[in-house]
Amino acid sequence: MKILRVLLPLVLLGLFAGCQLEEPSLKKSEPVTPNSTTQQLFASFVAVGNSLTAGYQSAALTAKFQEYSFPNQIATQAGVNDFKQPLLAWPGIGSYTTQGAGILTFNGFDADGNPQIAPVPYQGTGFDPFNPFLSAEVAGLPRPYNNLGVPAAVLADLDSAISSAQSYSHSAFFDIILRNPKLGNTTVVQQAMMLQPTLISLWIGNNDVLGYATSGGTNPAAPTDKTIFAFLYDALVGKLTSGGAKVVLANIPDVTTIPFFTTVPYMVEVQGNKVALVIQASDGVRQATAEDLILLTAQNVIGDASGQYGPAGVPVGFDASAPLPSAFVLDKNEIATAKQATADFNETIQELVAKYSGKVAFVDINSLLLDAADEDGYEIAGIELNCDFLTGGIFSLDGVHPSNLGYALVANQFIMAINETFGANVPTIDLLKFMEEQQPVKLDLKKLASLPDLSHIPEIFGGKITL
Amino acid sequence: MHKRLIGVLLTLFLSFSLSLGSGFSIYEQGAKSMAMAGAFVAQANDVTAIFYNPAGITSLHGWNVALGGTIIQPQAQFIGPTVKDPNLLNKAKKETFVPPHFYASYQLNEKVSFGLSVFAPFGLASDWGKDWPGKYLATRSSVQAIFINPVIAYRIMENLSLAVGFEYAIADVDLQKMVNYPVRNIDLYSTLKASTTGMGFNLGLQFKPVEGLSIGAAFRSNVLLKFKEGDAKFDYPSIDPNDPQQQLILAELKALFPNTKGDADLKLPTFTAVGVSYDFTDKLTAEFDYFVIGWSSYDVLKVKFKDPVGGKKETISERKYENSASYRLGLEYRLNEQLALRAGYMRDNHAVPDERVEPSLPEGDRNIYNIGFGYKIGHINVDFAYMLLLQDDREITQSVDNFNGKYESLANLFGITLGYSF
Repeated sequence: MKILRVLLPLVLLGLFAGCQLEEPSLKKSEPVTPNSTTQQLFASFVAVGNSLTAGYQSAALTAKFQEYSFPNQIATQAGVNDFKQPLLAWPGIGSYTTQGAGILTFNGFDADGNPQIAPVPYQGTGFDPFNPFLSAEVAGLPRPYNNLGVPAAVLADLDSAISSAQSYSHSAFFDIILRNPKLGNTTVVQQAMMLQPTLISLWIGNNDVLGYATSGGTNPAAPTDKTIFAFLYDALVGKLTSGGAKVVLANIPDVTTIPFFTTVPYMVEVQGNKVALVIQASDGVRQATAEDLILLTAQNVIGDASGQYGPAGVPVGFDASAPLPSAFVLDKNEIATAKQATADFNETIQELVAKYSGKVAFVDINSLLLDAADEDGYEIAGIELNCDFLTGGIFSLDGVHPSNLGYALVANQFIMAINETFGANVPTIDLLKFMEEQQPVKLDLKKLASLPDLSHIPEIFGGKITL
Repeated sequence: MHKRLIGVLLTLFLSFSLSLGSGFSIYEQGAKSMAMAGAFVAQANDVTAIFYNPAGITSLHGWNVALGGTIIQPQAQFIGPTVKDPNLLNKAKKETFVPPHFYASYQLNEKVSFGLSVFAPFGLASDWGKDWPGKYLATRSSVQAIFINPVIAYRIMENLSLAVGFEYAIADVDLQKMVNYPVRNIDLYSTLKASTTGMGFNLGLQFKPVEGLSIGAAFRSNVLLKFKEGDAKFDYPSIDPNDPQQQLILAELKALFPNTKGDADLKLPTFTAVGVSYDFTDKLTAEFDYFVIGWSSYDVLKVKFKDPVGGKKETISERKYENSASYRLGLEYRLNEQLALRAGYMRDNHAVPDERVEPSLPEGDRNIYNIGFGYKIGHINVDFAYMLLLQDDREITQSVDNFNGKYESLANLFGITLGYSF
């Protein structure tokens, strides 16, 4: 009995006390203050390259999405507040400008489950393609832009092109971004050096192989010669680092990771049966096989009988008399050519990183995309991103350029390389928070009916009390 | 002509996870055994033996009934995920669970005894809140199962008894999580609720080769739970009813993520226990048990939908669990006829491989400390137990979901059982 008197209070004590989990004193990370390396490195940050650098997405360049160019995202993370870009008004300049329209938008699915993707027409927006800038202030910036990414530029252009007419790629964007003769008929490299850069991001060479690939091997008829590429790239890095600037550069992604090439299947369903498309391949007119790739642009051409792509009245892609034209196909041989060129260019880039060791940081974008393209995709806290068209999250509506989130992934890769190679401490972008901020409509968490949020009377069996 | 793109929505954003590691199973079904860390398969000398080793009821005389419950208060926190902030502290909601237990046994004659028990071998939930970084993996997950277990025990020889029982299970699951619709980057809230029944059997063996020494073995079979026509429900974002663009989006969401029905098969694992007990003196007994939960049968979880969800009629999530083994040591010291003091220690191993650990069940290796007592007054006896479950911190670095960080967990359990014999 005495013992019971001792035990009972112990029991009661245990009932109300028990042990508690110890909380760490730090509940979340402190905000990062840029160290001296970061401050010095980002004193003058310049980006050179092509559309991927410019923040081109969904077939156009426009301010709403230029905000999310990877160099601008890096600048924001590093605390740079004067990173100037050639911002263009809505709906922007791009692939559909000659047809009087700008950027592509997604407008839901039709009754058959097909996505409705179309460019925004200029009519009614007040957009003037001959004066495309967002404002007079942007147009009249008295110095070169920090973002000198020129859509469609090839490697040779960076150190030679001063206008659309005087360039290898004939990109209309040279006139818009370089603004010659006002800026003294200067090239991308010259304008970059005018800013006395301390850090330069460089991502170039994509169009030297993708120009060939995205035109189905028709225009140009071959990727840039690898020896010329190596020579020009070496000279470019040499020039960019000549003033003491550091360079962070990225390699070129494999064609098979890009949804522009991997979305349209080579077989089509005809009256319940799967039939291989008839294509114009580099080795003649034949049926497509699993080793050929059909380009995204073929979607609107397959079955067309208007006469625009073949004889009138004959649906394109089903008969030898109206094969799917070569411009919409990257056949087996062309794929091999593209892959070889990509491998050669990436090998050159790797060698130059070693040659300029200490001055250059390397970003392996090819590995990132290969990882995202494999069967388990790229995971972030249970969200799977991959290289699929429309549903993958990484690529935008043109199937070639990244989306805002895709560019954020790229920015993080660049930031990690800069930090690791140069000793900076730029914070990476919190991708979960980024995705949440980008959501067009949000759930009202308080209204979620499925969650029990009041304590209820414990039931006899399996009762639970929520405190 | 054009391939349906919706059908190509192949992402596993709708995979469901149902983690059932040792943490979701409840072996504490009687305060006497609980005080001794569950090392009871060899002794099995009160009516709660129907759960631990039904062969033991052949030693009970007349009628024995018992009623009780276990108050379970788990706590869990997660530091991370590293992809967001390696120092971010996330705490699971503190809840209290009270799985009950009921036992009755009747000794027909010297050879044959009958028993019936009702208990909840699964009855826990984890709730991290609706807005934490792991919401795309799990927000609230709950598994509840009640078993009705009639048994018959037969004394083959004076020191050898055998028992067999039938299990009838009634179970329900409630799985909730956030889902991201990748085409427009919109979050929806998904809830899957289902109930079902299942059947299994259990076996028990007790052998007392010499005075004071007892060897026991017990086995509970798998129970296949076929959840049919469970409710799969979605909560959609709030939209402006005057904005046609938002109306379009809502219609698209409702078409792709309809409220529908779902089926899933879940095989509950086997329980196997072997143990030895010895009376060192007439007052002191010690027992050592080895116990295994056969989780390796839990390889994959498939949920089938009546209407396609996100373009798919079926979602598959790989679990690849391993068996989880525990070692239990219990002591009982009988002060006198009325009062017995008990203590025990258990070491339990994890079931989930490192790369597959995720928040619906933060389980890991544990050290478990138990203490309790039993008090007898005439025909009535009261048993009380306190258990402190301390889980080793579990640092995950190779998560398949890229949800790396540190899980910390502990639980306080209080058991009480009231018995009456006549």
